[in-house]
Amino acid sequence: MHFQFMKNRYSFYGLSITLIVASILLLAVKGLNYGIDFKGGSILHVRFIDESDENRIRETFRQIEKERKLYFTSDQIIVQSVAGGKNREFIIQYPAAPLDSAQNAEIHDQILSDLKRLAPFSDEALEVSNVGPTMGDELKGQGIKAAILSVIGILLYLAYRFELQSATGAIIALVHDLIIVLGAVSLIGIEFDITVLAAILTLLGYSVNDSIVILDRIRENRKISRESSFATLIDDSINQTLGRTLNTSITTLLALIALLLIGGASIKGFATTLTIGCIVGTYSSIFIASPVLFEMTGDKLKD
Amino acid sequence: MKNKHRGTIIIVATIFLFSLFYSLPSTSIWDTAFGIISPAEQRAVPERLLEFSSLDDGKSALIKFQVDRMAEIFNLARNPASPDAVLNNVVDTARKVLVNRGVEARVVDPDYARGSVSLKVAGKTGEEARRLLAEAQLYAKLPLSIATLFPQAKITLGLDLKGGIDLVYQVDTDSVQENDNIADAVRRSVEIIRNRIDMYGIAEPTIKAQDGNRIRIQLPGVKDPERVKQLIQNTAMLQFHMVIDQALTADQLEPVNAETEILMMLPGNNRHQDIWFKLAARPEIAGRDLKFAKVAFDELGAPVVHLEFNAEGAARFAQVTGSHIGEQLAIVLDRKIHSAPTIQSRVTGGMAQITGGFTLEEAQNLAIVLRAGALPASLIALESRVVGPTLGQESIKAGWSAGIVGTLLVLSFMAMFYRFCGTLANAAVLFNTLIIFAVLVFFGGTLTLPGIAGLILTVGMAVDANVIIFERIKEEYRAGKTVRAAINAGFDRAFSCIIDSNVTTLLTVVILYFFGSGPIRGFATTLGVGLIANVFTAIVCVRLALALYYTDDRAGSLSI
Repeated sequence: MHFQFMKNRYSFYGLSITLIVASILLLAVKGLNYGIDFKGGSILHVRFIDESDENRIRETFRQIEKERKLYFTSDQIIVQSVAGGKNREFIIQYPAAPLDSAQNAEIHDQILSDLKRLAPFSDEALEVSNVGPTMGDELKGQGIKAAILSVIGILLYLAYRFELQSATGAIIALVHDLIIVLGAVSLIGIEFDITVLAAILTLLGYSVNDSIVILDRIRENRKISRESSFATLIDDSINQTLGRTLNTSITTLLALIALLLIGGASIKGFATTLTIGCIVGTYSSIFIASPVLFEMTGDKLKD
Repeated sequence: MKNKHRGTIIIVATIFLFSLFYSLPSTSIWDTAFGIISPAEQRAVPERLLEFSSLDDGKSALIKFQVDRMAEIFNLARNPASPDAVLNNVVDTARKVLVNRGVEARVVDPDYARGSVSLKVAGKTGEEARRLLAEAQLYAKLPLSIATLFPQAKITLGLDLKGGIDLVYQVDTDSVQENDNIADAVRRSVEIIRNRIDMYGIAEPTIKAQDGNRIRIQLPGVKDPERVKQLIQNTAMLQFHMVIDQALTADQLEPVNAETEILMMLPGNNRHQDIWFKLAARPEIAGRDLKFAKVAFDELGAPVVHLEFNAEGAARFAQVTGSHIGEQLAIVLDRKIHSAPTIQSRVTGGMAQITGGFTLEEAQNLAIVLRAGALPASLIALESRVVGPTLGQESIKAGWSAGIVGTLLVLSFMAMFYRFCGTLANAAVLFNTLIIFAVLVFFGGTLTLPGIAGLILTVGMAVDANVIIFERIKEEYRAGKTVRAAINAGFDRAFSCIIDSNVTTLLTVVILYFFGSGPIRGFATTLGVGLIANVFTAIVCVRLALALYYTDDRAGSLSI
């Protein structure tokens, strides 16, 4: 079987540009659903002794609001029922205080003890996290810095190992993946926490892998092939490596799907992001990285 | 033929044995054979000294744990273990495993002088309790001397898996005394917090100063997070002020000047009305003159905190009380009045009591923070994460099953697609996982929930290298090369590609390690170690196996 990737490349450019524009629009309009790691705030993950629901929990917070001076109102809390938690397990979120101050810790402790008193939970709370506004902002800055550093590092390495055109092709495919995955994260409404950031940074490294396999083959074929047209040579290279490109993605996907389905709630966002990224990354290394290399060098075979 | 590979075989065998050596003690098979508690603990609180008895006509059982004071860890020349601590730890572990098996057990009759503590087990006879404890695999079944040949280190679980507290505080620089140095105040705060935590008794605390006048505290496996947070956050600034006036509202005490201040008294048990005091701003005596603080009980049996001052403090105390008989002296802790007793007579001997409707726990906390000393500044909690042990255990279970299913899926795919070679790649992946575990144990790395995810991801990614190689071998084989030539060409041609793709992933992983903290670091560690080990297992080991298998007589056909 021999697929003609280069002949149809404009259709895939069209598809990718559509996806990228849609992703950017989504990110601009809907944005990312930041978790407390980034926007600050508090999470109470508890298992109540009695069955409960969102309204009852909201009612409880209304009562706490009456008794205490809180910096937020009970309407601002977000209540999530945990799947498989038999209507007893909930994750309750409330916003961060506007400023980090010595009093915050006391307020958080009071809310927790009030909640425990009004709606008792079994054992201790499963998880209680309070993140102040300072830490959230810092993490955001660090995340962006880490992502930029990763892209630059990969670009430098590829430019050193390959010629600049190939490196650029791989980097364009990588940025393409990054934008589309972020768009998907925004579309599905995955809570963007530190694990999702880790997934995205991992993707940056992983998504160029497939591109490298193909670019490596093109590099090799250019030295040995008697083919006169660069487009045909790229087509040949992609076809020759198609088996490995697909199989490496399939094995990674198999592991990811297991993680997604039975890895538990805490890493669902992480697993979903990686799964989407793995698919998009495979697509872009076939349909974007090498064609971009072609657009830059033209149909002449050098060296 | 074999001679050529001898060097490689030795290296592979050495790494395999090393990995097994460091991984084994962290497995559940190990616990079955050599017990959950460490060999040193098993010798310190030996199984032969356990006593089981039935209580209340067989309605409950008593398990008595006794210390063997002759045990080695109590008689070390340097840092001998404390029998009380070891005993408590063993009994607590026993209690946990019993509770996990659905049996109610609680600690009774602690007698540290005789070195014994008992567990009362509800609803069981002595014989049943003996059987339960045996099933719980607390103690070794095989001789302990075998266990001691292996490393004593087990894999360190992160706070997200073990449960625990992770806190980041900012030292409030505004609250540091004017003549004090901020960097020094941060350093002293770290010391004081460490003292408080040590006095409370938490194993393996990590307390570190960080940039920006921050302090990070990580405490694994804490049972009572609220109380521990209180213990850290309390500034514990103790001062004694003379009372000038008191009233039911703050307004009635106005105006104040530079020499006076208005504070509220803590609400008491049987008092519903707020009481406000106007105090002399300058404290008469301060907490730094304190020698000792402990919990005591008043005539009614309510807990109070008993204070003892040093010579200087005692002299000052005697002087102040002597010259203000009939006046009220307010005891102020962290800007709140605990009590304001009237001075009856001159107090010598430097003793005092803080009353104020404490619960026993509050009194214990207060005694600890007063003994450890006041913090030089107040702390602002920037971040606090508390994970209960239940969630951690559930995460381990979920991660474990996802790992098994994911691994099985990947292994079956490889075996189906690449036959014999795929099976070799599978062995390489399992070897890779073993190496990751061993390296984590060896270097004291931490396994976190994202770390488990990284481990599973590594399984999926580790076969990549072999897929690349096998596809290449297939191609070369189809092009007409002999089996051995195809294998060699496959490995050689795929090498640069594998290195390039691993380096880029490793690059992002390294960046992740330096930018991330806690759980994310765990992810970066497992993935990073996995990537490096992968180059070894996928290239060196699989190549060796193929070379050894496809000798001249088998080189007719390739199972790939």
